Amino acid sequence: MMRWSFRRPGFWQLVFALILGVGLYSTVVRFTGGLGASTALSDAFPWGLWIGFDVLCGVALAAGGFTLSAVVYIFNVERFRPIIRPTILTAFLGYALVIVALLFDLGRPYRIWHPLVMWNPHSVMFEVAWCVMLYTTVLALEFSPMVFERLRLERPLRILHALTVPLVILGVILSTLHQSSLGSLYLIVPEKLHPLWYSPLLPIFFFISAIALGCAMPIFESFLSYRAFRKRLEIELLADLGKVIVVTLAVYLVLKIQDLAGRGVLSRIVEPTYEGRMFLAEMLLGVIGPILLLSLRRIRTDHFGLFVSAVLVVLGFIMNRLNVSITGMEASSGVSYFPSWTELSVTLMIVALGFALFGAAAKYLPVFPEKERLPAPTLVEPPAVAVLRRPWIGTTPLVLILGGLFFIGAMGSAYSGLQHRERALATAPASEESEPEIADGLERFEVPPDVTFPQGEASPGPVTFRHASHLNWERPNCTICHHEPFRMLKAFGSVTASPARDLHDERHCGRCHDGRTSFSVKEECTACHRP
Amino acid sequence: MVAFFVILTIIGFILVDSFVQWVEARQGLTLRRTAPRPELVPALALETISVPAGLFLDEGHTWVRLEPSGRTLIGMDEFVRRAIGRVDAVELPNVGSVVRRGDPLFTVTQNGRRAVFRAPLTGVVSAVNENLARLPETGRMDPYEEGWVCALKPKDLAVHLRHLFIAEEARAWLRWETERFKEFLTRCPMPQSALGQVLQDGGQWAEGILEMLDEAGWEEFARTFLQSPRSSAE
Ligand code: HEC
Ligand code: HEC
Ligand code: HEC
Repeated sequence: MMRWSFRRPGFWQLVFALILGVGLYSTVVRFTGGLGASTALSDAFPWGLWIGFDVLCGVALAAGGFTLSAVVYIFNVERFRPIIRPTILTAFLGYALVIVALLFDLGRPYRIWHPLVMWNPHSVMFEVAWCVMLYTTVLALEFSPMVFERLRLERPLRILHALTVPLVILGVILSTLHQSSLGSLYLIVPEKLHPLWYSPLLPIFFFISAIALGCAMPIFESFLSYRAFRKRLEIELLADLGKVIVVTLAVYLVLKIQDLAGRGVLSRIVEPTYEGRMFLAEMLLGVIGPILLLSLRRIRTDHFGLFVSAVLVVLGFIMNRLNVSITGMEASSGVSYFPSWTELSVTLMIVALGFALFGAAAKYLPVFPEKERLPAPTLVEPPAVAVLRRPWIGTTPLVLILGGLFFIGAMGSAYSGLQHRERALATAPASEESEPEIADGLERFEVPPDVTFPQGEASPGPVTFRHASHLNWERPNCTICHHEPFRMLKAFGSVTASPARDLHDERHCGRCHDGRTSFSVKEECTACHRP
Repeated sequence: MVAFFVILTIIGFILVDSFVQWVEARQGLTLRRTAPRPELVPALALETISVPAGLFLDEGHTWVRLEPSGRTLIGMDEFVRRAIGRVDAVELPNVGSVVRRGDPLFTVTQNGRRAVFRAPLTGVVSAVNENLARLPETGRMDPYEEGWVCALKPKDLAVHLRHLFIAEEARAWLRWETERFKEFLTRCPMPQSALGQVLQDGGQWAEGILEMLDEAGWEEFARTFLQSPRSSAE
């Protein structure tokens, strides 16, 4: 997937090209058609795959960067130095891609700079936006030495070197803030998020799980690098990371159980519901499985064992974030959300870009240490003990069996969750449209301005469109016209900006002015054209 | 629903990748297996066979590296590695087992034919390269680093080291071995076309040429080149 040979593209190059093609097409659809046309999102379900996967998981990729740079530069644990660069690179790419994903997800992406100048310190989004911007800058600075080294630019290297420790400290603060502020985002929706996930401790859970993911990523990347360049990190280092993962996840597990018990929802885990089963799946996959696998020394000191455990951690993590952002919200929103193909293809494109960029960086920049040292002797035992300790099953099969068990268990649980949900949906009485609470908004409601259309050549008279005569005052609904049939934004080609369109047709004013809903465009010319 | 779908997609990608890797490995093999078409035989000049300075070579075509820690690493040298070509499996020694110089240490299998390598030193096996068990082709390109087979905690090192070749001695010996190997090949029953091509200009032989030998040829090879080293009592 990372070897770029121009002679004969390999399988993954072709897949990459395909994903990129579809993704670019979706990009065009999204930016010309808008969110409504390109996503399965709705007012009831405004945050979907792009936020749940691209943003939440992308940001967490950076956790490895700040944990390890703190360990090495602040606590001076030198042995982890070889892992620093891959993790910084991951963090940087993670954030860069989060910004790309945000550009897709924001309704008006060209306003992404607004929080810079228009401060609203009461908003969690404000904190998130600032953290993203500042931390991306810090990461870019931390990443740049690799580029300078490659280009042999001594002077900037020296400057950056002097800046290392302040940068690291800044990075640690920002990243800690950001990881947990993402959790805080979901603190605002206590009545919407399912109680299995909603917890006042959510920011802390987000933070701890991000650290576990941060430690799993170097293992995964070491595998990727080995696959592409036959170069990888030392097993002892990775085994130590494995230990850190076990401890972090154990803390997470204990806190989680305490939290659930404290809020009195512990029993809901085993209830046969959609949410309960998904929660179980997430815990099996991302917490209990890796803890068990990585506590076995044999698995921890084996590249394959480490790889499988890291994959479990990553999958469990992704599942957790998607559960918080999607699964836990589905019941309260009353709609079932499944991403549209545009959302899927854009996400795939972003992930594929991440892989490609990582590959290119690993190839052209000094990311991984020069040469893997051969493993040091594990421990020399007297032969008799060695015979006794001889494993009854090879490490690889052991890893496959254990990892497979956890994976299949988790997926089985998730699948049964889906079935419960289907059953619940089938038996539930067709619930009437959920009623959004609009009374508060109505008090402050102002009628949008009248629009006088620029007159066409043959037009019998100027036409003024009055919002006032088109809105139901009890519950004004803007979506029957915006964005279909009338886009509000001039930037995206509003009807006033393009006289080429016939405004009488059934895609525009004629949709209602057809003689049935209201007077017809074919008859009462003067109702609109006031001479 | 979404979470379930995303996880399955990711696993799907990983499985496809494993399959792709497997296919690539297989393609590599078949390319090499169809090698007898003469024009495809990859010819290698003898000069390209190397031995890094500081490595000891044994008569049984194993190499030994002394580490500052006192441990020794052992593997097969580039000469046999290239001659054998494809490797289907490597039987590693058990960690903790005691071996004496000349004892069988590890075995390489190709297509059911086996070549037993003998221990160049006496000592206790303290680590083995698990990668070889999983991916026997590990170290094909880099037999002196990635292709290490096992680590030994040596005994009576000074005595046994005297039997090993180092530096120019090692190179001279390798040159002599390659000459011997050419001679050996001319004696061997094998597809004439391939051999004619391989040896025509007197200095070239094919990588993985042992893949073309039959059972008897392999036995002969093992007897001539991987023989039991002189016992240390000599
Ligand atoms: C019956 C259709 C209809 C409904 C319902 C409707 N609008 Fe409009 N709106 C229009 C049309 C037509 C335009 C002019 C379109 C253009 O210029 O492309 C417009 C333009 C606008 C503009 C831009 C005005 C300007 O000066 O350019 C705003 C703001 C707006 N609408 C807000 C709203 C809001 C808020 C609601 C809900 C309370 C709403 N609209 C409901 C038809 C509608
Ligand atoms: C969503 C349906 C809908 C669309 C689309 C729509 N109208 Fe109307 N319009 C109505 C209804 C309903 C009335 C009320 C008519 C009545 O009382 O018979 C109305 C009334 C009017 C009136 C008379 C009231 C007044 O404000 O003078 C005008 C003019 C008018 N529309 C112009 C337009 C124009 C111009 C467009 C296209 C830009 C348009 N409408 C698009 C539904 C629509
Ligand atoms: C629902 C409101 C409405 C009614 C009813 C209506 N029109 Fe229009 N008409 C518009 C709007 C909006 C425009 C675009 C603004 C403009 O060109 O003045 C327009 C534009 C036109 C144009 C110019 C088209 C161009 O491309 O330059 C003509 C001609 C026209 N109308 C004729 C009529 C005639 C004739 C009738 C009656 C049979 C009629 N309209 C009824 C809303 C209406």
